[in-house]
Amino acid sequence: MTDRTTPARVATLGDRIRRLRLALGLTQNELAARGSIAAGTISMIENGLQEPDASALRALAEVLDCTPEYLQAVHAPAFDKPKLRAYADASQRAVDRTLFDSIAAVEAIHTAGLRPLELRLPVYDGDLSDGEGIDRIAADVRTAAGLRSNDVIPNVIRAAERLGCVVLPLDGELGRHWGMSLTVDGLPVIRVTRPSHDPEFDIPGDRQRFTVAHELGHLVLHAHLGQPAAPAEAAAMEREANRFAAAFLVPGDAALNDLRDAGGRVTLGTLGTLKQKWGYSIKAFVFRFKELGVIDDAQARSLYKQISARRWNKDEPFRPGTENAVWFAKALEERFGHPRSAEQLATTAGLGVRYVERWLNWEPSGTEREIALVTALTTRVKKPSPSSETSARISRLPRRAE
Amino acid sequence: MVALSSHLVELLSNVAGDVREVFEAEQWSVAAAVELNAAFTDTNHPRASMTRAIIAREFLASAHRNGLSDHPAQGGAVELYEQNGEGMDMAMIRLRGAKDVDGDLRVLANAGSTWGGLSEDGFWREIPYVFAWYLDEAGALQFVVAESVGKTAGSMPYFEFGWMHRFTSLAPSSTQGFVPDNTDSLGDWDARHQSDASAQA
Repeated sequence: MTDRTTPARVATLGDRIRRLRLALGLTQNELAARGSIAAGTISMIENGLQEPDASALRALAEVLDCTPEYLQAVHAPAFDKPKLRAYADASQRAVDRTLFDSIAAVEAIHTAGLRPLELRLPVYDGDLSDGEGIDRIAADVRTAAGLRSNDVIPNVIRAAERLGCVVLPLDGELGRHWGMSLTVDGLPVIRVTRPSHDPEFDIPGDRQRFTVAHELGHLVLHAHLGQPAAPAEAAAMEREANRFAAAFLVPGDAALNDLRDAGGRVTLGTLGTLKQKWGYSIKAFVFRFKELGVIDDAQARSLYKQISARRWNKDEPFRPGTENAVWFAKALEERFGHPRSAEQLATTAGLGVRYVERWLNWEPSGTEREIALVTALTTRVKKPSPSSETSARISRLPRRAE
Repeated sequence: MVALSSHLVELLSNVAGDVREVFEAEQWSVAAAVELNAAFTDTNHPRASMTRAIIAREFLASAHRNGLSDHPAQGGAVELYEQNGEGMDMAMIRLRGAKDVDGDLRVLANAGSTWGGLSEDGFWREIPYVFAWYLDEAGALQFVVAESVGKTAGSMPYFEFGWMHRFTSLAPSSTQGFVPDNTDSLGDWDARHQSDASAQA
């Protein structure tokens, strides 16, 4: 132990090691094995009960892909846990990885002194029992994002950035969740899945837009709340965020006007046309028109059945394009003179460059699958039986006497 | 084999589109109605009958909107009666439910089926057609108009068809999805970024 340490400093060091380990998705045992340190020692260090000596600190920094100075920094960012229904649908490890990776990103942004976005995101802490109230809040947020009340949002990620959110890509590791949001040191962060060459992990543009709007909903409506304590509370928060997303993306009056202009009947054909205009999925439109009282439960069920029968649950027609964030790359360019200054940011922040590349990469994940070549196989010619083999003979059994 | 004129086919195509749209919007009411009493699901008749009622009502309404005339037919059948082309043929186009069996259209012939001949005044040759509807595997309503030329033998005879035209679902005017605007700016942040850059220059 060095003689300058205090318990608080040791605790912060342990906490920073734990956070970076979780950001890399490592268990204590895995970190211990890679750093050739006893697993029990890792636990002691992370809990602030033991300070690593210089060689252990270097070994940990190497495994965690950072400088020892990064681990020794005294800053402990304040953050809230994401309002995910979470831990039921994605593993704790996957959620923690995204959570602590996001915290590392915000810390790097602050350390590098990137010029921040102006924070315009309103935070609401009133009663949310009224759906129309959420619609009004969504209208206010549209205004704050510089959008006119009934216009199609040209780029939802860009709108979130104008509101002051840092939007970072996600690789689909959260299972059924396409996104996550949290606040780190007062900065709202949204993670959203980037496209993928693998159809299993690819995200359609309408889903990506809805996810960003849904996470905005959590940031606006639930910033003052803790994590949901019970499944019912989590479900209510999800409903509220969904309602916000719907009203933010497709304001009620605009939806009703467009439906009237399209003939007034809620059919899959009409909804397809609306989807082309709004970048909002057909299935979500069914829900939206039910919410707006245009159709009832029975009509919505019928439309869902039609969607299912057409196999549109998995793949709807009129697939919109995906979006990407631009602030991070622009701020890097402003600070370091080049939009892909990942290495400069990494050096300044004391982190490995792979962290920064992950925060900047909006290209489709995975590799493009090559079309498999089909080779015609020749018919196997049956070889004649060796002479030693004899054909089976069937002998007639003698009749049993009555 | 007598084909319908392209004009009539076009009008019937409009009718098919209208009926398809109304059916998509209204079919929920059939599901809701049969749920009202368990007896309504003992057989498929109530569902089929209500489905036919929705289709028949819009078929006639749309036919009238498109300037087509209907004609009183035996047993409450819904039938259009229109001159086919410039000649002396009248098309009797009857609305019927059908089944698509591996691409083969099956419409039951019955005692009320019409087989054409001369009109009562003897001036016109009357040629029977069916405007048949069926639900495909995806539950979407499909339409065919076909000339009835005879029926199969057996206790459950089906129509034999001559000329036939299938009305495919109307393709959307464009298959293009929404394209996000990637030039959308960051507002004030961009404005300052640009002014700083120009000041440095």
